[in-house]
Amino acid sequence: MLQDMLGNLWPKMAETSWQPSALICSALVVSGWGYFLYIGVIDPNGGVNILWPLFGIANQMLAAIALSVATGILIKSGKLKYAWVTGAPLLWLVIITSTASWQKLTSSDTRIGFFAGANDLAEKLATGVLPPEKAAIAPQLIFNMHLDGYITMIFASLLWLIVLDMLRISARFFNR
Amino acid sequence: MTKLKPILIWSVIAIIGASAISGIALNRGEHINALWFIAAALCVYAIGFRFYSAWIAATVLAVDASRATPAERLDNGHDFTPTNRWVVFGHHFAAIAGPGPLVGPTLAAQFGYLPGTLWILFGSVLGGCVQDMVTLFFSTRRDARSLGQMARDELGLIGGTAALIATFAIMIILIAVLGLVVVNAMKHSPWATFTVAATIPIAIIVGLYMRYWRPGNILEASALGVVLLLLAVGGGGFVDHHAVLRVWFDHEGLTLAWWVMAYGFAAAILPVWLLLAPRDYLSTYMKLGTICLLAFAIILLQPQVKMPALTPFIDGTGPIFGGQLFPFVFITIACGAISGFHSLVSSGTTPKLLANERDIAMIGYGGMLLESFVAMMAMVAASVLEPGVYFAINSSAGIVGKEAADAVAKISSWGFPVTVEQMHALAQEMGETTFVCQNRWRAVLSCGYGEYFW
Repeated sequence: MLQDMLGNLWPKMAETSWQPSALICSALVVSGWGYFLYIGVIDPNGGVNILWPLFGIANQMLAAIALSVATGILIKSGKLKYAWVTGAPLLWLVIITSTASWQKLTSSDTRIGFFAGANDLAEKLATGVLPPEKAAIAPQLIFNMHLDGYITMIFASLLWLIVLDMLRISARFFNR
Repeated sequence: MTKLKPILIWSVIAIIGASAISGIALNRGEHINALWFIAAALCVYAIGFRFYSAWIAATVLAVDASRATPAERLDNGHDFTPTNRWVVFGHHFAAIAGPGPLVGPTLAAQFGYLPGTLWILFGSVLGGCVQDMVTLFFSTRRDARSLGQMARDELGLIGGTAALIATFAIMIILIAVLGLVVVNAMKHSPWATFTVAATIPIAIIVGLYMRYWRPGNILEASALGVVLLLLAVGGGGFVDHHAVLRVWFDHEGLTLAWWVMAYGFAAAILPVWLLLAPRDYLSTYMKLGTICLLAFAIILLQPQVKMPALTPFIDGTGPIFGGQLFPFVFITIACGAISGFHSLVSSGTTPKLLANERDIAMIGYGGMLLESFVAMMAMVAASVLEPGVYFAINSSAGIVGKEAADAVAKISSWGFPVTVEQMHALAQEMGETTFVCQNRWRAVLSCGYGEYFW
């Protein structure tokens, strides 16, 4: 898939039979998910609890992307009156993912907000209330929570870009 | 007169479904039979499939059975091949059904059974199934192009590029989290680790068998694979009790994570027929088998649902994860109701195999219905536990306390009585019967992930 994408920039990369490209792309992809797997595994709370909301948000956003592409195609092919079939679930997904991202980013509850959680942990680390084995991995955890927060932010902005662009293109067809 | 019979049958199905749902939704205080959940699900799915998916196919998408599919036009015997619709259904289902539909409902049961159940039912019929189906259709009409590429072609430069980047980045996160679930399932569980490890040589044997030893003999190869798989699951139990072998398969999470990464890289660069394709094929059998077993178990045992419809934790103070009912129930249960991951499959391998547009509703909509059914059973499984026990198993130690007595006192104070003896009894049972099921469950769960790591 990465090969496909890079093929947009440099056509030779898209040739799956070209060995160096296949090797480099596989290595890049594996190190990408490998990194997140690694930070999930070293998390003392099991990792799933922190990463699952990110997983859910990301998964629902991908569904929203698929639905906006579908809604866009329906409208472009002149089927505006049926656009609600994909448009209604899309609207719902945009609402829930935006709310969830907003809460994950701004909530002051340390169990919900990524940044609140990171600050809380940083404070505990600074005041020295953490037992030594937890203090050792705390910097990594703080970094991870920040990273999760920024990723959520990027995903949310990308989703809005896509939805708005879809609406812009659809509006053009609608006016015609 | 000939039209009367179907009308009658569908009215009966609608009435059963409606009464099952209202029974589930309005019931307070008493325990209800888990069979109602199955009945409600089956009726809703049947109606959704028969009417909504047929209407979408005929009216919204205008599916054309006489139109050649990419599999027929671009048939190269390699990745584009027209394939029997049941085989395509199997492939599609195996690829979309990951650990997601099991983990999500288990976590979301902290809100009570009702929010999750309703979201699984209606989210899938009105959202998730529609997404899978229309993506499959649009990709089929566009030479089986991927979702990212379709977005790039159909939306503007900005939206299209954003979609390409987002799709890729999201995929990375999804694979990582799925990998994490697998690693957690194998952590310090020699049984699960052995079974998962054994699927790799089994897949290679089946792959070689189909390619060199007896090409074309799919039936023999799958029989061989299934027998070897069952042996591997059984063998895991033996390894688990064996003093020496046990140590070999008992690992820390981090060690396993490195192995999973190494496997992912190997699977990506080895030829597909050697490892990925046969493994994907075998895991379909494992998944379908597990689902049938679960459904039969619920029908035979008819357990009582003990979880209340709603718990006080809808205000966001839940012990399993923080966050209010809205929006977090909809985020937590992703794969069982609507899952973006599926759109990658629907615009990936499936349209390259599809032999006729007519089957789009069955594969796209129907495949997701089956997955939703899996999520429903996970929900039932979490709800038939005594709520106190459920919270004791799933709560994070930071909230309820590390000592058994502390945890029990805390959970009981929420109004879900549980005693230390109960937990000990459960732990005992876990050591014998439940543990066996759980291990087997974990092993089966872990078997299906090979196909995601590329």
